[in-house]
Formats: sequence, structure tokens, C-alpha cells
Amino acid sequence: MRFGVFYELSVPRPWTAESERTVYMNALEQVRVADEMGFHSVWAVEHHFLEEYSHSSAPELFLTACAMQTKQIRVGHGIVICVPEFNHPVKIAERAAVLDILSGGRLEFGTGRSATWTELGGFRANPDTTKNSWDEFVHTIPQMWMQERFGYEGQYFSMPTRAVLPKPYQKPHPPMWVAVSTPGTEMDAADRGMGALGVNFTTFKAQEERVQEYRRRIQNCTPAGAFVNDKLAAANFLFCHEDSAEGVGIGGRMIQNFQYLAGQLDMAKEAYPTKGYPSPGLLAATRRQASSPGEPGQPPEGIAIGNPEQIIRELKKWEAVGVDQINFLLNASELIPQEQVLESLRLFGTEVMPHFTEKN
Amino acid sequence: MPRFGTLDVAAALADAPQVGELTEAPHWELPEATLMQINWEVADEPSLALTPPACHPSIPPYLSLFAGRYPDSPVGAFTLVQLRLVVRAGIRPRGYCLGAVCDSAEATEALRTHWGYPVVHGEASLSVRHDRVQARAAIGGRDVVIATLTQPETIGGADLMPFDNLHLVRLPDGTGAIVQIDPEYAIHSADRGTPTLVLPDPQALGMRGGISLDLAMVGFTFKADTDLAPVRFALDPSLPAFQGTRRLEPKAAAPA
Repeated sequence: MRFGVFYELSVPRPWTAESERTVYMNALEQVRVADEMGFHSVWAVEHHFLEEYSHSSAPELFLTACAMQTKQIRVGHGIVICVPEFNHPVKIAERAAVLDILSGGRLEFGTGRSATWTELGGFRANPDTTKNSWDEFVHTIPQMWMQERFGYEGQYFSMPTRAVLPKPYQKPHPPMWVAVSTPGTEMDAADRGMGALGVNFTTFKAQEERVQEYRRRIQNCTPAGAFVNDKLAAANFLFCHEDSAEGVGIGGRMIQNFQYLAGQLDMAKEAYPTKGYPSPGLLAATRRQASSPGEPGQPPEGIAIGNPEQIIRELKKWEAVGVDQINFLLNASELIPQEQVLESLRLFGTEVMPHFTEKN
Repeated sequence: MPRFGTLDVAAALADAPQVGELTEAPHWELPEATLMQINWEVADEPSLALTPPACHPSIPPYLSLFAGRYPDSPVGAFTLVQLRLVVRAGIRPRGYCLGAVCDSAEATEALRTHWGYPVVHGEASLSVRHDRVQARAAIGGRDVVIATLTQPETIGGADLMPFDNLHLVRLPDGTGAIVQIDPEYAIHSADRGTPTLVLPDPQALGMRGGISLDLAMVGFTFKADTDLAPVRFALDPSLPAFQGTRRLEPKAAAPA
């Protein structure tokens, strides 16, 4: 079992000149501590226009800063949006390669397609076709990285033959992942030989069934890239405290706050009927659980809040169902003071991580 | 914390429908209805001023025109054209009804009294052609809404997520409340198309300061069996929905 940290970079109102900088600087400090504690990876989302919920619109820049301030921790796009109105695939390939070079080959390349009307409408992207463009991008970007010169005539982009430069430091290319926010997408990952990067906060029972199906399907995959990445990652929350009640109370408030912000998102299906988004998507399950911000509720099963013993117990369940990695959200809306977040990370690193076998 | 609406509730209540005892409202079955919804992004500031303090504005804010032709109801056939602002009550998307027009005097009275629709009696129509569906509403012979969906293409009924309504009302005890109207829909067929929306007189449909239309989102039409049931939830207009929502319990029947 490996562990990562995961950033939405939520910025609560009221906004001041320092608000966003404080969130970014706090996150960088947390990543430095995570690196010291031996966490495997740091992931950053790509979101646009999502007021308060996520101000992480240029994750490649944040991840570059992470890489420059750390030694071992891998840096993950969680995810980059593979929709032409958001990002040209050549720009994605180029930026990712630079990040891989600067990080010394520490890039994890997560891909996705956005799930909110706020973003899709903002870029005037067609919700009907985002899955198709994502599919085209994840099959062509590895070719841009591996071929000296690349030319292409496709449905969502075309280009004459050019040398797409630079090439990634990792050969043949960084591991590829797919964001999984709705049931079924993990099968898209399996069929393409890509890691399944869970970005919603599901129960481990639901995850168990998906793990089994993913493992079965990926045996017969046709890899989109040059190799198979058969890892499954799940998202979770983390607040570790010596005192159980403190850990559950503070962690519970963080979860409620995050869920309430997530509940404000205009999901694609709500605003624009389309087969492209068959379910409300991102965080739908947690939205149903959300009631009010800032009030501790009963944490869903499998959530990593509480004292080290409680967290070990919950994470062992994830390990038992076959999840390879858990990526933790450490804070929401800066609800938890930075010092407590850092103490939580350090306590997790010293008291919890040694109980899991794979060296992070 | 997300922003809350800044509607002047006291001023808005002056024009709000006076409802009767909500839990004693009838349950209307509305079979074989033809419905159309058009979503359209609007400018932020005017819409924030139309959003009750109980609710968060949608991000981005958008209008949801909703028109329905109901061929069979306890008061006969009627057509209702309503203009709604999409808001969030807590985390739930809702259509806050700004104003509406109904072509039946009897239905208008019932919709105002039992469910708090801010509706006036006027001319309302929903016409279905092969290549377009059009909703029109007029008050006193003057158009207030012309909404058209063209180039319809069939989609699945499961792809639709109709919103419940919220209505600002004056209760029998004189206080104000926002009531939730939550029809059920058994969808038989659905089409999606290109929307156009013209609002010749925004003031007539409750848009006090006016709203500037920004970006066309989508239009869809569907056929469904639907209903109007007694109100089950009411919100304090001035408190966040997660604090001020209460369930309305039907009064116990008097002993025989």
C-alpha cells in the first residue's frame, strides 16, 4: 500500500490579497513534510472557475514547485483535462515532459475530461464528446513522447508532422492514469492499460467490486501507451491525532466542509442532458451524504480520521480489497490550522505508514 | 462558505402569493404532460439580488425557463410558463420561480393558493412542431416570453434531471416562507435541441432589476406523467437552507 497527498486547493471566502497565496504556500509546506515522511506522491487537480472549491487551474506549475522543493515524492497530474477546448494535446505532452524532466522522472500522468457545466460551459466544450476526445488524447500523447516526429489526422485534433519536444525523462514515458469519478470509468482505464485514479470518496465495499472487475479486465487490455500501469488508487481524507475524539471531530468537520463545497458544483448532467455524463458524477455519493458545513457527522466507513490505531484499522480494509494506493485530502477551506495539518502528517508518517508493507 | 443570495425578502413578500393551509392541498395527477426546459446563463450581480438569503447562487448563475402543457387536470387543461432562477438550497439544485403565466383562471388560482406559484392569468401556449417546440406567454396581450427549441434530437429520459421548484409565499399566519414543489416525473420520451429565449418584458416575470442573458446552454422537451403533491418542505427565507428547512406534517384528522 502506497500513500499520496491530493490537492484541490480550496480557497474560502472572504478572499483577500493573501488568500490564494496562503493556500498555495501551506500546500507546498505540507508537500515538503510529506516528502520527508516518505509519501509516494503528490497529486493536483485541474479545475477552472470553481469558486472556493478549487483554485488549482495550473497544476503543472504547482507540481513543478513541489518537485523543486522535494527529493523523492512523485508528482501527479490528478488530472489534466483531455478536451481540446481546455488543452491542446501537444501542449499537454510538452508540459508534462518538462515537468518530468525538472522532477527527475517523478511524473505520474493522470488524465480526465472534466465533469461540471461550470468548466465545460466556460470553455464552450461539448459535453457529448469529452469522452471521445479524452480517448483520442490518451492514445496519441504517448506517441508524441515516443516518436521522434509525430503527425496526425484525427477527429478532435490534427497536425502536420513535427518533433514534439522535449521528451519525458522517464522512458518510454511516465505512468498513465485515468480519473475515476463515476462507476464504470475504471473499466475504461482497465481496457487501456491505465491506472485507475479514484477521485471520489467511495466506500471500500463499493471499491472492492470495482477492484475485482478492474483486475479481470486489465488482463486483456490494449495499452494506450507503451506499457500497462495496473495500479488502483482511491481518494480519502486524512486527519490523524493522538486523541481519537479530536481526530474524528476535526476530521469530520473537514469532510463536511469539503462535501458542502463539492455540493455547490453544477455537474454536467444537471445543467445539460447528455449521454456523455450518465450520472451526476464527481462526488455524487458524498453529496448525498452532505448536510451542512462545519458540523461533524458520522464519518463514512473507511475514512482515515481519528487516532493512529483507528486509521491503521481502516486502511487495512482498503489494503485487503486490493487498492494499491490511497491519496489523502489533508484540508478543506483551510478549516484545519496549518500546524495541525503538519502534525497530522507527521503522526501518520511515524505511527501509521510503518504498518504498511510497500516502501513509499 | 459559498455566497448567499441578497434578495430583499420583506420587499419580495409584498408581491408573493398568499397560500392556504399547504398540507391540506389536493394531490393533482397530471398525465401526458408536454414539458420544455431552456437553460440560459445570466449575469452574476442581478441574479444574486434575486436569490433569497436562504440559498446559494448557482455557479455560474442561470435561468431555467420551464413550460408545461397539461391536457388533463382536476381543473381541466392548462398551460403554465414559468421563469426560474437556478439556486442551491444547501447542496441541492432548485428552480426558484421568479414569475409565471397560466392560461386558465381556475388553474392560476389553485396554483397560487395550494402551491404558491407566483403566477398570473394570461395567455400561455406550448406548441409542438416537427422541427421546433415553442413556448409563449403574454400578459394583457403583450408578450413576456418567447422560448423556442429547434433541431430536436431524441435523447434518453434518464439523461434528464428536472429540478424541484422553490416559491416565496405568505403563509396563513402572516409569515413568509419558501416552499418546495417536488413533482414526480414518469418520462416517456425526450428531445434535446438548440434554444432561443426572448424576454420582452423581464419585469413582468419577477426580474425586478432585469437580468441580462449571457450564454445559451441547452433546451430540452419531454413528455411525462407528472403531479403536484401537497408541500412537504418549507424554508425560512432568511436562514441558510441547512438551518431553516422544516418538514410540514399533515394535520391529524379530527376525531369522529
